Amino acid sequence: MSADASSTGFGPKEVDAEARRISQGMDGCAGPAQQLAYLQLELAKFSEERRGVILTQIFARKLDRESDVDPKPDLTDSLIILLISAAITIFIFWISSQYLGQENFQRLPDWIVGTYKGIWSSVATGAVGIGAALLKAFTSKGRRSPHYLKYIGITTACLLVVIGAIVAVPAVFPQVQGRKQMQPPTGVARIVVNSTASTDFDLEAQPQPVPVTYVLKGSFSVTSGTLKGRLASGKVSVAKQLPSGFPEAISRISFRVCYLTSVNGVDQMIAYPDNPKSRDSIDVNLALTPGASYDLAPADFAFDLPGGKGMDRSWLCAALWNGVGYFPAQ
Amino acid sequence: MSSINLDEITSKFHEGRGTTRRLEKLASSWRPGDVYTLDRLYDLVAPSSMQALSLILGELTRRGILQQFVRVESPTGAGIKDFSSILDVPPTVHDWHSDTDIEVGPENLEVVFKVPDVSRR
Repeated sequence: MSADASSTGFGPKEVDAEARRISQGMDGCAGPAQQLAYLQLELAKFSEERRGVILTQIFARKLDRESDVDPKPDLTDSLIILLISAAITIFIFWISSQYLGQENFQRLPDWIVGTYKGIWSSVATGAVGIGAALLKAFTSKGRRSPHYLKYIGITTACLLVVIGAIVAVPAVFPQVQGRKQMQPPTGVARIVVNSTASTDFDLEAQPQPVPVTYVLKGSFSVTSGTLKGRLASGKVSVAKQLPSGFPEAISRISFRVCYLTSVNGVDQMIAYPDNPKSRDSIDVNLALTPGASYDLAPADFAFDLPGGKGMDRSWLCAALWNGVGYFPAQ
Repeated sequence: MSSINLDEITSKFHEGRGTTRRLEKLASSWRPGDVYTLDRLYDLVAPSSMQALSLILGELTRRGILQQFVRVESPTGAGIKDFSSILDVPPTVHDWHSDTDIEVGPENLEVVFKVPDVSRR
């Protein structure tokens, strides 16, 4: 702006400088009466035209100072803040799911997509209702509006914290989850990670019956995260009649830990190690001939327990590998 | 009021088309005796700054389109008396709302703009 932009011959800079000077002078006065007297004294030095402009500017500065206090968001502002915050939150989760390779946010619910599409369409067309309100809020140049960035940041952070809590609390405190936590089946040999005491086991064909019955007896103990056990005795009996296509032999008996852990909020049973190795297994060659019966020789086995959660709901189980799969024992 | 070339005034202070449009819309509804506070005008015209608004108002006042008054307000916020010049404001004013004399300071003052009677313009 040029210095003589005002017809009073008094440019914006000069007006602002005089207003600032007088405002500062008033701030230094002792009381309201002195402030008024000072204001009148100073303004009396100017012509009537200039006096009016400077007076307006003094009060404009005062209003500006008052408006430095962030105005509270009204209904439209709140709506804008919530919509943008929700969009940012969805975007953050979408980016995260892309990075983690999960599909949770690949396809958003239709009602979310529809809502945002509707709002955007109404804003773009300047339609009635929410579109007109948002458009007015965005185009009100100079309007003293709340600190959107601050409010959107706070709202987004709150949304993320709430969502994080919803996701994290059931994982950390399963007892707060609505459904009851699953427990290991009864009669199994529970594994206590922090106890070195010896535990006896008696593994049988459970839970589903098969035309092969087997019993594995012995004991185990846990030391420094490693389970070491000894099969004291075992017996495998084959039924007199087998269905066609039934496995022909048992080649390996492996020992493992079965445990319950929460996967995406749902309890699942995991068996570990999932692939038998010689350290945790006893190699045998038991032909599944109808009516056959076998006694197993004592043998030792060991395996490292997996780290992480779930070991508080763990027990010893076994798998009798038959070439096409295995017969479970627990 | 629609005959006023507001675009000339607003563009003088480098204000955009939006400010002019809002000022024109406001001016088209002006009736003699209408009174606006500075704050209200700022909300309605939505200029780029208070400084720009005060310059525009100064120009409108100079052209006689608006009249500037200084209003003394009661501590409750209600208006007590209008003065055409800041120099006319006395140090104390009788507040008829509370029937007491109040000491006048800048906190009790408000700049208001009035649409003048046509006959007086």
